[in-house]
Amino acid sequence: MKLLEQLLPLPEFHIEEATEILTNAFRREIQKTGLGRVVVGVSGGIDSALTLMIAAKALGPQNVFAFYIPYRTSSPDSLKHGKEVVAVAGVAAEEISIADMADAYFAEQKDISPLRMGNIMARLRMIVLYDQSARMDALVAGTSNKTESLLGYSTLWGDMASAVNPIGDLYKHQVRLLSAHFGVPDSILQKAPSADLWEGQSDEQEIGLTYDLMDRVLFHLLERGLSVPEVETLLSGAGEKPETASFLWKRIARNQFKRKMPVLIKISDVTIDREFRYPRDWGL
Amino acid sequence: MKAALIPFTPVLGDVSGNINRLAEAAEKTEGDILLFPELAASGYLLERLVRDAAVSPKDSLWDPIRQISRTKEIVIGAAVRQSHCYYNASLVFSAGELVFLHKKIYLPTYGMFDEARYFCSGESLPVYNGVLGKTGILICEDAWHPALAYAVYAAGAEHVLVPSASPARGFSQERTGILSSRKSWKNRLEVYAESFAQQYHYVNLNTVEDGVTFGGESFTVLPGGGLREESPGDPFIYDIIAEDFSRAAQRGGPWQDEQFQLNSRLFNDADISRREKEKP
Repeated sequence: MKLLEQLLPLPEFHIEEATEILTNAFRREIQKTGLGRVVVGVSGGIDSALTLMIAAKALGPQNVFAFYIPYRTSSPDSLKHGKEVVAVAGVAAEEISIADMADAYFAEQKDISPLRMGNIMARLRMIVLYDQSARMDALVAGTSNKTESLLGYSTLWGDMASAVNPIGDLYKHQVRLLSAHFGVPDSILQKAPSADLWEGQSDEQEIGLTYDLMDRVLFHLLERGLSVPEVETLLSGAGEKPETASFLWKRIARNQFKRKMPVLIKISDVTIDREFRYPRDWGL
Repeated sequence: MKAALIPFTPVLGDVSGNINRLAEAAEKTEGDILLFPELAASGYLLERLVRDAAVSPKDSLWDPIRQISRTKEIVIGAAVRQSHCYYNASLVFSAGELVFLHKKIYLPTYGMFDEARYFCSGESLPVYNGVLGKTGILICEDAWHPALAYAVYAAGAEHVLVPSASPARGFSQERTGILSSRKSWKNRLEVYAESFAQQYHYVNLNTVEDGVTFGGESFTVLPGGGLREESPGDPFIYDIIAEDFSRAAQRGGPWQDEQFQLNSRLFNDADISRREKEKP
């Protein structure tokens, strides 16, 4: 066993029990709103593939609607892989391009950066999904995993937006394990994770770390409650760069705003979400 | 004598609707004693909803339950308001009346829990004489404090009811599975039943609130040890067998040489003031 696996072990993942909890809780959360149906934006990647499979198992394929929402630069493989998982899930699917919508805006924005373009695409996809959810009397199912939410590798009010997210408490390695269990096609399981905002983009290259290493560090910082210096010592022992721990911890902190509702300037005695604390499932 | 553990599914905050559904479940479930989970009448993740969800134990909302309790003892978890406080309580109805009320003592306010923010703490742990005989109630976190399990034992309870709202969670390396919460409960109550030769009865809420699963587990631990359970979510109806107690007596165990006076003195002698200062 590699030193890294020894020093920063990941927990055994009980796939059967996780499947039971995720599908049961997802079904109940959707059904108790009275709607019972969801839309899922299918990118061709592993996260949305797993959400789609969980949704189909939880609600029945007839209550799940997949949407391919490509831009001109989206890889042709993305659509191909999306169609493969849609076929496995047995759900209805539609393609809605955001190319014209996006280009109309891009044409007016001189020197727009790839990052801004990527965020526009993510938010246009959100607009499409929320509108289609209204058309279908459905809710939007989320597709952001825990690793990317913690690191802020996602677009606020874009791909992070959803009503219920079945994979939001799963680290990337758990997404992979569950996806294999759910029968997500190999073409999706094997390929390098990518936001697919431009050609050849890769999550791991962009962040500069492998998901395996990121998950190990995040798990020890969060679930095991180790301090950054403690994780640094473990990383050194495993022959890894110790500064990875503080790099990731700072990144978690810097992206906290993406995981919260906007800041409200307090002036009253009962401020929303501060004293006015009510569950989301109020009356459900 | 039959007991029934009913993993109830409340609508969060809808107390009158929940009490009607509790009455329906109580009506159709056979058993001389029916145990519903913690906060079954309101749901668990109340936060400020406790203001709307708390009811007085004397409220007429309980009338259908009182009515059904003419033929069976019914134990229900509810948020109750008394004087200036809300309590996380278990209400025992029998012979058409409220006969006992236990207020949860330990209100967890760590991890995902925030109970002490919304509830006041109970300060006594009496046992009552019910259809099972001397019966104690430990509401969820109360059972995680062995001193309380010991207290209901010392008070003479033969049966202990544990209504619970236990969230399914836990990936930790040292435990055995994703549902370490499930396993911990069984281990814990088995130890008590083994040490004290009491029968334990456990039931969890069967619901999902804000993404948190309360898994609907139900099980009983026989006096002196031995676990019987139902699949999660289903009512568990079982016979209470007097021989289970006599068998424990025949087999013998640590309960035989329990020295209550000595234990009491040992507690008094322990320098508790020092421990209070050491608390994190």
